[in-house]
Amino acid sequence: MEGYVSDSESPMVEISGIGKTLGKTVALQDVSLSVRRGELFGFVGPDGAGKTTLFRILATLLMPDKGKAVIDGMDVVTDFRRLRSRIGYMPGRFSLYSDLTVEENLQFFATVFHTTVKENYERIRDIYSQIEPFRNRRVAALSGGMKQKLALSCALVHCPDILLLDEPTTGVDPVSRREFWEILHRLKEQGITILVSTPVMEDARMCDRIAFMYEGKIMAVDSPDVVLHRFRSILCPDALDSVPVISEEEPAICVEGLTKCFGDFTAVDHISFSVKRGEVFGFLGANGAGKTTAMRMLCGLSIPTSGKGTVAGFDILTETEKIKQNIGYMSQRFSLYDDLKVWENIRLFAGIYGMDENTIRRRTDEILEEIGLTSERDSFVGELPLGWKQRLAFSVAVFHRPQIVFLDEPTGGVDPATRRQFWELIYQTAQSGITVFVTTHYMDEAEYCHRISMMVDGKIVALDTPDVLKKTYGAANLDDVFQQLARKSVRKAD
Amino acid sequence: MILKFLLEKEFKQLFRNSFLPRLIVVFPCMILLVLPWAANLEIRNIDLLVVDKDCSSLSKRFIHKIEASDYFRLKGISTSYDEAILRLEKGEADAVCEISRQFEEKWIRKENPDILVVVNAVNGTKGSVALSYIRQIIADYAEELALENATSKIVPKFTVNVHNRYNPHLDYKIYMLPALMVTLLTMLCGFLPALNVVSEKERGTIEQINVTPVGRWIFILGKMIPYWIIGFVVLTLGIVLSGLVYGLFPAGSLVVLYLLSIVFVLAIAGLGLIISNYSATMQQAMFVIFFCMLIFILMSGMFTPVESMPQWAQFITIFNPLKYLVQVMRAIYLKGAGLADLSVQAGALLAFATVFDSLAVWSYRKKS
Amino acid sequence: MVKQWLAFIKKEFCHIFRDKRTMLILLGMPVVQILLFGFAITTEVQNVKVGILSPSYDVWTNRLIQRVDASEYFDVVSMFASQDEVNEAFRRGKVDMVVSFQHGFGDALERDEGAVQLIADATDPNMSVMRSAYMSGILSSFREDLMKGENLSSSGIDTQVKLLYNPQMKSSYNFVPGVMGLILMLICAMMTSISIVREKETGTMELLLVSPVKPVFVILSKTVPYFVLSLVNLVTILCLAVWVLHVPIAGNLLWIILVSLLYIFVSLSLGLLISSVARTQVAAMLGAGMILMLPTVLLSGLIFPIESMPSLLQGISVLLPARWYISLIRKLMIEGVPLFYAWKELAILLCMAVALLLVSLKLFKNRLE
Repeated sequence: MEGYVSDSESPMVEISGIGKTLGKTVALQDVSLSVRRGELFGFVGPDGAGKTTLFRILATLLMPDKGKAVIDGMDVVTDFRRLRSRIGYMPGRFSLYSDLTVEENLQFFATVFHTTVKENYERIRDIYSQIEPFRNRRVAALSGGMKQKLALSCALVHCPDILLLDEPTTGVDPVSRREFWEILHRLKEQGITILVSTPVMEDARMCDRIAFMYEGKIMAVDSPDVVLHRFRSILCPDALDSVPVISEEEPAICVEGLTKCFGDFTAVDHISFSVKRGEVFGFLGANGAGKTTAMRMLCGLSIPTSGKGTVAGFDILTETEKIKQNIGYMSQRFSLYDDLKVWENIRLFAGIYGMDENTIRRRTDEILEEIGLTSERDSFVGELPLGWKQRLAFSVAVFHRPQIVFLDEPTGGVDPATRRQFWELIYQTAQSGITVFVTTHYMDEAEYCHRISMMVDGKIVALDTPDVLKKTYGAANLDDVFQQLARKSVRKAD
Repeated sequence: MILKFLLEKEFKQLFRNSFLPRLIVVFPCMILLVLPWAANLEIRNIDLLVVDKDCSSLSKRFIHKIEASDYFRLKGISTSYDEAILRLEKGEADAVCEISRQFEEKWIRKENPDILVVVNAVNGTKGSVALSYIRQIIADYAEELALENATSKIVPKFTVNVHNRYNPHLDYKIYMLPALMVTLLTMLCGFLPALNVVSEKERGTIEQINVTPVGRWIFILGKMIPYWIIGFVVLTLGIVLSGLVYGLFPAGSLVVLYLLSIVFVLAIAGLGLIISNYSATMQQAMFVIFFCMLIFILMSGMFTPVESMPQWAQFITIFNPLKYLVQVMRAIYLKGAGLADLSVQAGALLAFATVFDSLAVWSYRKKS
Repeated sequence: MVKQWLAFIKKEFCHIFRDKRTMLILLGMPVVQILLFGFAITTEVQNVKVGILSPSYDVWTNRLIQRVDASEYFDVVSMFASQDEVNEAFRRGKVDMVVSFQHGFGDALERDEGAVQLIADATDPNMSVMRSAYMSGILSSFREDLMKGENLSSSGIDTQVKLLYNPQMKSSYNFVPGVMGLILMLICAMMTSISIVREKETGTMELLLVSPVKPVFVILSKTVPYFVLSLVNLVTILCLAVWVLHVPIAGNLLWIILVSLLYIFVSLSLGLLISSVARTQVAAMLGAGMILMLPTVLLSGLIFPIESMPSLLQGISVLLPARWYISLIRKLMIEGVPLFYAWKELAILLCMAVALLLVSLKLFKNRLE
């Protein structure tokens, strides 16, 4: 076969001088690198660095403007048909059919790739066996970790030689993330070449080599330790430290026996805890442990099935509207108006909380200064990078000086430097006396919290300061604590 | 106070949208400039074939009478009935008129001669209107002949004359224009709100609003008022266009016209918001509203009279807000009716607005 | 290849069956439309509200009024004494027509000078013409009875009427072909384009493109379920038309179905065309709605006869596949003429099918851009 070289010495992926412009933005600029056969190769870099565009070019979905990319001797432009049957691709969002069941999705993709689930069952058993108990459940009802495993099963079902995984671990809890990497290592042992992009540095350390991408260019390709050390200011910022300003008045949040059932499924099962005023309280748990449900009850978005409690001194059963006046909320999905300008979004929500025109005007300037977005005052929110949007959403949530602010996975999908900046904001807010209630999947962030709680299967199984928890469970870091606790979970789904 | 900020937001979003402001201006213009010509059930230019088997002076005179009429286009005179019917089947003619043999002879013998009229009745309206016109010509002709033949006393006992009120030239466009304004208000002020709340759901922004202390009434009002104003703009545009282009001005009071239209907009926008509140995706909302609008428009009496419907259908129209506004528009535009004449319709529209808007507020859930 | 194909089709059916609300509307829409158009949307003269304006009532006026009231078309609902009352009743919509007698009608009648005026609410011109004609008919039959009473020969012209194809003048005969044209277009073009664009939006199209299955094949498989769905609707409409509306199928059923298949084919190609241009579901929906549905409803002859439109609009209607399809079905199904008489429509539809398919396949992209 012409141009088909399969000796084990030649590189699996050879990219030379690739450039790509999308609309007006230069997405990739003169990108060259080569990946060895059987290598686990990572891409790190901030949001918008061009990782997704590069993956799409390799997956034959986009044509490069300049340069050449060859995978296993096949050119991605001219030989794309032959190449397509050799690639396993997992796009950034889990591209599954949410109205089909787990099994239907897998079977469908198997058939599309001219194979059957049975034929390659051995190949995917490792992963698929974990979700097989739920094979008749619709994808829409799966948790993030399970969707991820299903998406990977679908990408693997036809035994590809090379896997392209674009940010596969975003929004996935540490337990599932660790399992995911164990699977990748096993796949690697079977000889599959894996290209994976990630904003999480723990993930990057699991790769053989990583490339650091920045503004469409490759800044460095080397072993993870070397790259992370060279760019540690961006990739591994120093830890933050703060002493809580806790007031010993009545607690900001106090709940007892809070329960929420959906049909015969108990999402939140009699949880009791209290959060002191001025604290940064971390609310941890695996995907589907019931964090978001609990948080929605505290914010008055959802009515508890049973239990009682107060938030900001108001009853969560009867005084939800008063609670709303005294809290701020930032949701998992970015939820400001894309078609309004930065200052207009601030003005809208400040107005809804009943602030007067003068105060709004004065505070808008102050807060933009604080979050460093003064120059973006008149930009449309939709045009901002993700990290900036998150900072803006945070400042909108605290603009009316609430007593408590609830943050639901506020930093998903951004790089460590941006996350660190975000946490500086959180600390500033906490110093000014606002209680912060935050959920996260990043254990480095959990370390930043004054106290953390761990939720497993709808119950709180541990609650203390990070240091005490580490001691109690004899662990070196919070990740270990999390692994120990969350692996006890019997409820794998939802 | 809070309302001010919500409205500011709605209007900014509206004007920033690349599509909606254009839609609000272009759509009414398109509808009002194109539709009266397209939505035209005016029946003129009926293609007629005459089969003259008599070929006498009397039959010639009859043919001339047909030619002189506004309503018919004489497509030809043939002598073979079969040939004429063939041409009718091919769609070259809408009706065939056969003058029987011995037409003149019979007339002279004081027997009644006869004429056979064959009409393509696939389109029932067109068929029956064509038939009415032909019958009229025949009746006129018979009378004309009878008068000439005045020896015997067959002069009619009494005369009938028809007086067409409110639309003396029987202009179909004048009939449709007021109803088209109702369509406009329905499409713009019904469709857009239906997509509004559900699009906030899809984008997730509604969640941020739900955690704020904003009240349900205020929120729905903030969504409603922009459509109220859009309705106002659209209606004004409609009135100006129909005045300038078609020379049609309302015979009755403009104030009453605006007043009742605004009540209607509140009702239909309320309905849109209810659908929006219950839909999970824009596609769902779009289908449901499309389905509702279809039924509403067809059963509003806009194209076909409500009185012609069977009893059960007439009963259903009681619950159709469009029916009342169509009646109001036509009564004010053509008949010059005042508020006192329209009290029933006004009452009904008010009731719809109250019920729909309350339901819209009720169905908007801040909590689950 | 067959296996992949079946897998695709199975998946598409799952999508359709699991969205209950949309499916209900897709299957319910034809039923509701047919029932509405068949029963509710009629221009038959019925229940006409008649008022009587007469300064004096005598034996003759009473006989005439009874005559009018006895007719199946007219209901005498009110008696007026003055012109002002008449005006008010018209404004309020209480009457559709007023029969106005001169003063001393009975005496004038005996002197052969009787005169009756029909005042019609002509806001709706067609209905007004038909109502006046029906009323004139009743009045002249009354006149003939008078003459017979006096033993006079009522010399006139006898008119025989033959109503072709639709002897009862039912509106449904006209609307059934139109509804078929509309529903098939809606399901094929709109639903196909939306379902393809949805895969683009959710990102699953990326995966399908990466698979070794030929992209054109992916797209063609997506049309199959909608093809089946439109067949179901076609059968539903035909059954409802025959057994509920009693519209006979005058022509050859086989030809009707073959022609419908051709039209479905045209609509599917249109749907593919829209899906390769549109980026979001909303854009596809609005595009299909504005560019296809609105003109189809208004300009294809579904409700409004094309002949009465100005030539510009007639020109636009030439471009609509629905226009030719509706015309074809009217000829084949209602009139029952041989296919030979409709060769023009058939040829145009065939050309459209070929052209649209070529264009939409040409526009289809193998990649994301």
